[in-house]
Order: sequence, then C-alpha cells, then structure tokens
Amino acid sequence: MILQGPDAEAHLCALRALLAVARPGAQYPEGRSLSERLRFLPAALEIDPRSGLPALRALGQVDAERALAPEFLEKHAAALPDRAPRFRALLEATLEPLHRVQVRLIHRDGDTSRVQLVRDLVDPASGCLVRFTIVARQRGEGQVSFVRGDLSRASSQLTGAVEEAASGDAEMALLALAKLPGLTPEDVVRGQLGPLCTARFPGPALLAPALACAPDGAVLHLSLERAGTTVPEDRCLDPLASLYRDALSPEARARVEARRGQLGYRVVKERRLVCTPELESPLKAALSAAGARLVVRSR
Amino acid sequence: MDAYLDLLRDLVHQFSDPFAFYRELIQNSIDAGSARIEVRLRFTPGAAAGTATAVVQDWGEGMNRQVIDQYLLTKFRSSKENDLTKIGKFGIGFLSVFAPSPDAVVVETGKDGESWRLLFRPDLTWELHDSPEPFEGTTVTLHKSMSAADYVELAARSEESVRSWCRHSESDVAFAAGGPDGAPPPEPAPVREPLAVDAPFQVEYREEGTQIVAGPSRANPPRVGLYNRGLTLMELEENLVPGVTFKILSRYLEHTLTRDNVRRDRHFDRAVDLVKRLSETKLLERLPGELKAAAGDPARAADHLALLSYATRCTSLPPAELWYRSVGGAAADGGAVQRTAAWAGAVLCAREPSPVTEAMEAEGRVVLLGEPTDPAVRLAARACAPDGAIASAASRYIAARADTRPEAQALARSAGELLALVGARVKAVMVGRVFGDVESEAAVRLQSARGPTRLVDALASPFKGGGGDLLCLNTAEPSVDASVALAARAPDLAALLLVRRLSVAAGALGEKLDHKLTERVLARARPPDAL
Repeated sequence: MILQGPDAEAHLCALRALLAVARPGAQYPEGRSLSERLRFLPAALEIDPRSGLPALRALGQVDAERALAPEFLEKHAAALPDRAPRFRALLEATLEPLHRVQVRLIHRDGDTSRVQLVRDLVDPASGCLVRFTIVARQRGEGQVSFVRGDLSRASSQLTGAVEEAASGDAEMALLALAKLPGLTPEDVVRGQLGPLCTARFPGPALLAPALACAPDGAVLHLSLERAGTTVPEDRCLDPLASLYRDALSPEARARVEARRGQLGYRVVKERRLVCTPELESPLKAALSAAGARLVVRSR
Repeated sequence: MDAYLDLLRDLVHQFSDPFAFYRELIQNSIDAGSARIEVRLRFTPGAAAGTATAVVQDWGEGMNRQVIDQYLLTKFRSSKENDLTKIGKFGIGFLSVFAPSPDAVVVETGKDGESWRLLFRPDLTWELHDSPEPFEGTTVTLHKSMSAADYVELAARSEESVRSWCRHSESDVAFAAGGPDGAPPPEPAPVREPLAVDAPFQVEYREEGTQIVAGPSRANPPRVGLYNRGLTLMELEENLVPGVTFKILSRYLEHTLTRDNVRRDRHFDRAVDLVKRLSETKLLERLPGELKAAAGDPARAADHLALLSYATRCTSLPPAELWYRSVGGAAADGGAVQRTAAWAGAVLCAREPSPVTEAMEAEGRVVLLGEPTDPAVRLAARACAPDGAIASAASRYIAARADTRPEAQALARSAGELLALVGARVKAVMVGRVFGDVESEAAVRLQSARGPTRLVDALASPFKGGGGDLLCLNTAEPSVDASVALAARAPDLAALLLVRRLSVAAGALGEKLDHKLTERVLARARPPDAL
C-alpha cells in the first residue's frame, strides 16, 4: 500500500514517536538507526500491510541511495545543487544494515569459547524488523575463528545456518543451530519491532476494537522470545503467539521434547506495547479482559 | 552472618565517592542492553526535612529470580565474569548504592515474565516481593531524607557525576532533577557528548569492539581517556603515546577491582599500540595539511602552536612539510624560512606587519609572526636556523616609503645637488618615511627605494664609503619634516639648511664648502635680470 503526502508523513511521525517511547534495547533491532532511516524515505511511502511498517523495498532503497552518495557528490553535486544536501545527510547518517550477521567473543578458555551471534533481518513472513541474539558454546574453531585472539570471524557454514535459523522463532533457531558440529547454543533471543497498528492497519483482532476508539492513535508491538538454558520455565505470556511445540503433531512434538531434554532449554514469549496516550487505557482494558498481563505504556 | 555483613559494609566503604553508584548502576544498565538510561531526581519537602529520591531506570533485559538470587544478592558472583561483552565483572557494583547512606533502596525489575520488587534497608537486609504489575527493564530508587539545601547540592553533584562517567556512553544516558520546592523533574536531557579529543584535529580508527580518536595534544603530558562501551573507566594525563591525546572505547578494557585504575593487561597494551600506529599513519598523513591550514588562519594561533610543537618534537617531518605563520598572514613552509635564515643569519620575526616586513616579503623573504620569545618562533629557529638564532626584522633591516608630495620631490632634487657639491658619496636622494630601528635618524642609506636594507648599511655616513647608493631623508625626523614644509615655499633654502645640518653632523663641512653651498643657493635665488 502506498501512502502519500500528509498520510505518509503522519504515519512516519507516529512510528518515530513510538520508537522514541519504546527505547528498544540490545535485544531488538536498532531503534535509533531505524528512526534515522525513516528520515530518508520517499514522499510516496510504500507500507507493508502485514506490519504497518515501511516495506523492505522502501527501507532498502535508502541503502542503495547512500551507496550512490559519494559518486553523486563528487560528479554531480555542482550540476544538481538542490539534491546535494540529501546525499550529504545520507552519508553522515548512522544507518545500521537491515540484514547482517555479527559475531563477538564472550570468553575463551583453551579450546572452548563462548560467542555471541547477532542476526538482524526484515522478517519475510511478517514484514517486521527482527534481531536474533544467540549465545553459544564452541569447541575448537570450526564455526567461529579468532583473529589475534579476540576478533571473531564466523564461518560461512555458521553464517548460513544462522540466516536459515532466523526464519522461525527462537526455539526453532536454537534447535537448528544445535545441529552444527562443535556448537552448543545456550540462549537464543528473538526481539521483534512491529507491527505498527493504526486505524488504517489495525493488526491483530484482539486489539482492533481498542484502536477503533482512537482514529489517530497508533500502537507499536515489541515482542521478545527467549529459548535458553537459564529460562526458569516455559511460559507464553504473549496473547498473540504460541510456543513452537504446541503447534506440532504429537509425533513431532515428542521428537522436539526429547531434543529439548538433551539441550536443557526452556522458552518464554512476551510482548509489550507502546502507544499514543489516548490508547493506553483502552488497550489495557482490552488486554485485561483477555487475561493478558503485558507492559502497555505511552511514555 | 555478622562477619558477612561486616565484609559487605567494608565493601560499601571502598566506594570513596558516594556518587559512584551512578556509574555502577548505569554500567549494569548498559550491560543489560538498554538503549536509554534515565537518571531522575526529585525532592519532596516535609515539615522538618524532606525526602530526596534518585531514580536510575533502564529498559534493558531486566532480572529474573535466578539472576536476583545468584548475582544481585550474592556478592562476588557476577553473571558478567569472563564476559568480554560486559563492562562489569566483580559482582560488587550494586553495593555502591549504599555508599550515600540511603534510608531505603528499591529495585523493580522484570524478565522472562517475572516481575520483582526488592526493598533494601540501611543495614543491608532486604525483602523480595513478586509484583502483580509487569515490569520492563530495571529501576533502582534511592530514598534519603535531607534538607532542601542538601538536595540542591545532591542534584548538582549527581549531574556532574553522571556527565563525567557517561558523556561518551553507547547508550543514551539522560538526566533531570526536580526543584527543591518539590517541582517534578522535567523530561531528562541527554548527557552524551560527541567522542572528541581536545586537539586541533583528530583522526579515527575502528575495528570490532574498539574505537579510537586521537590528535596532537595541546597539553603536555597529553590527556588520555579510556572507556568501555563509552563508560568512563579512567581519564588521566600521561605520555603513553608521545604528544598524542586520545580516547579509546573498547569492550576489551577493564577497570581494576578498586575502580580507580584500568587493568594494564594485553588488551590495554594492544589498544595503546593501535594509537601508536594511528599516530604514525593517518595522523602523520594529515599533519602537514592541517599545519598549513592553521598557519594560514589568523584565528588559529593556538592550534598552530600545538601542531608545530607536535610536528617538531614527535615526528621527523622534513622542513618543507613544516608550516609557519608569516607576519603577512600567509603560511610559509620550512624551506622558505630556512632560506631566509641563511640570508639573514637568523630567523626573522615581527609582532605585526610593517613596511619593513612588507619589503622583505616582496623580495620572497619570510618574516615570522611573533616576538623572538614566542614559542612558535623559537621552534622555527630551532628547526630552520643553523644556530637557532632569532632576530626581530626591524632590528636588522629598514625600509622606506617615498614622499610623493611636490615639495618633498623638490627638496630631494635640491638636496641631491647640494650633497653632490659637498662630496657626499650617494648617487640619488629621496625624501620619505623610514621604518625600522632608525626612525630618529635624519638620513639613512638604502640599497633600493622599495626593498629592505641592512641596518648596518643604512647607518653608514653619506660622506664615507659603504652603504647604499640612495640617501633617504627621513620625514619621521622633525628637522626633515620641517624642511619639507619649508620646501613648499623655498625648496633650495630648505635643502641648504638640511644639507648643512647633515654635513656638520658628519664633520664634513668646512668653511670653504659652506661658502660654496651658500653661493649655489643664492645664485639660484637671484632673479634672471640681476645676472
């Protein structure tokens, strides 16, 4: 869906304001970088109707423009002076890549190491921005090698596996990574920004009546899943999600449970909502009526 | 148990700065992955004293019961031990909240669907409650009764402390304090400052986990800052890399157990090596250009001195890449300064432009801006003059500007004729203003009308050998100035009086010559019909 002029501006304005209220931490995609990226979106704004967020194509176009900026400024800035400030601003902006895999060493002791892998992506299934943060123990240097003893480099096999694992939820990712030789995943966190729900993009049915109360209101969802050995117990506190294994056939579930027993992890799913002030009470009322206990805040 | 509590109290007292708890709590918040951390202070006035509350709130991953039990309530255990992605290590940072002797400390936190409220009493005992309300991140609140005046001081010192520890923090750290009248705090304002060093210019280096900015230092020893994820570990003055001020943000740097120093381990050594390499590459590459730009900018004298000092003391840049401030305003390279020094026997300088310096610069000589005692001039002399000699341009050279008024021209013509008559050894005479350390002389000898003349040559007697061929009658000297005025009416008489004065002063005027001069003037003054 394409939003034009004031509609596009109002939509982006709401998203920027809610990102500032949300203050997403390291477990989520970079909120500051996303806010910065929104400054450079075109006036005719393509929205992904599933997420209410700017479509991947629109977000990615910013990177493409930025890649062109040095050449434009060198060769064409004099001929097209009115366009130069935009390219300059693009070069100066702090824009984190939409898709990437980063790996960092946590600790190393002889042949064993603990590493942290971070995978950022725009989820093709939902159009939302997602970050996977994986903590894994490694024997040897088969998946992650160390330059100079501390700088870490992921193997292409690991990078590919992380990218593949990131197509599902945290538990699926943990199970997928556990198949890699020499690597034992301990903790997988999946943080998601979105959807952004408004009267035009109402999102989940549970919250739609609340949104109808405030035609200019907006809600940004932040969902967090953790599958890990230090999670105290299985809990699905997100009224809009379910645990992976709950959706499996009895046979498949038995296999997953067995694997879970070997790996010793549990899963928790949570969601928090940040909204415009007029929506805070209606949302809380709707969630309370549904028996859900979520953080809902407008500041 | 008593022994354990005593130990805890001892640990509390290791935090000699009662405001260190801000650093420790913010460090925990950064380690918890919070993108924003807010510090808010508020005062509630009471009948006798009031109550101050200090809140440190984050939106990080929070704590579940297991983390609270194992790491918050059990000292010396840290979930972050041996974790290079975290700043804190020892599991004692939280104890710092008791250093300001609070009446109560409340921690509210949530993780994995659990929400907890912890109440700590001043005697370090605590209560843990499951909260019905879901919490996000962690909020720590200190309560302490105090007067409004003490609250004002608390607010000021809190802000100073937060700014000092967090000005380069990776996370947005924001601070706000309400008024002593009970007014609530405004929206917290960010304390973050751009990562920069106090240098005329800076260069940057980044690699995974480490960011460095460095530049030539204005001070000696240089100021050095060490940070982990932007949180201040230590700022000191030390010549770790000679002449270079720098800041290192690295997740590999760690503070010591006592928090008053940085561990000087292999990570520290490697980070300092990176700065050294940066100073030998990027910084050195940019130095000549920056030096030239500062030398040519009148507003950047301090920058120029810092750069020149660094370049001459800490690098082996060739003279052609060292740039100096000339009195004319342009940047002059060390090669040109060397050539002038070889010609003059010293590096020349002047406090401000003058006809002497303009005359010298017109001939391609470099006169540096400043006094002989100025550090930049002394550095130039050390680098460019064989024996480090410095001289004020005006003490060694003079220059003159011709007086173009008709009466001055007439006086020059007439004086020239009379001087030839009395045997002066000059080929031409001009009337003009003389500049340099000879301004009280009535006449000086010049090499040329526009260029500079050495002072020793200028003072040579016009009736003896040596000196220039051009004699300049100096209008800055009162008798010459009066002669020019007289020349407007009687140029020959004015010339006669002036030449007689010069000749007498030089001991060159006998009775015979005097008669000759007078006769010549009288002959020219006689009307034609009288011949």
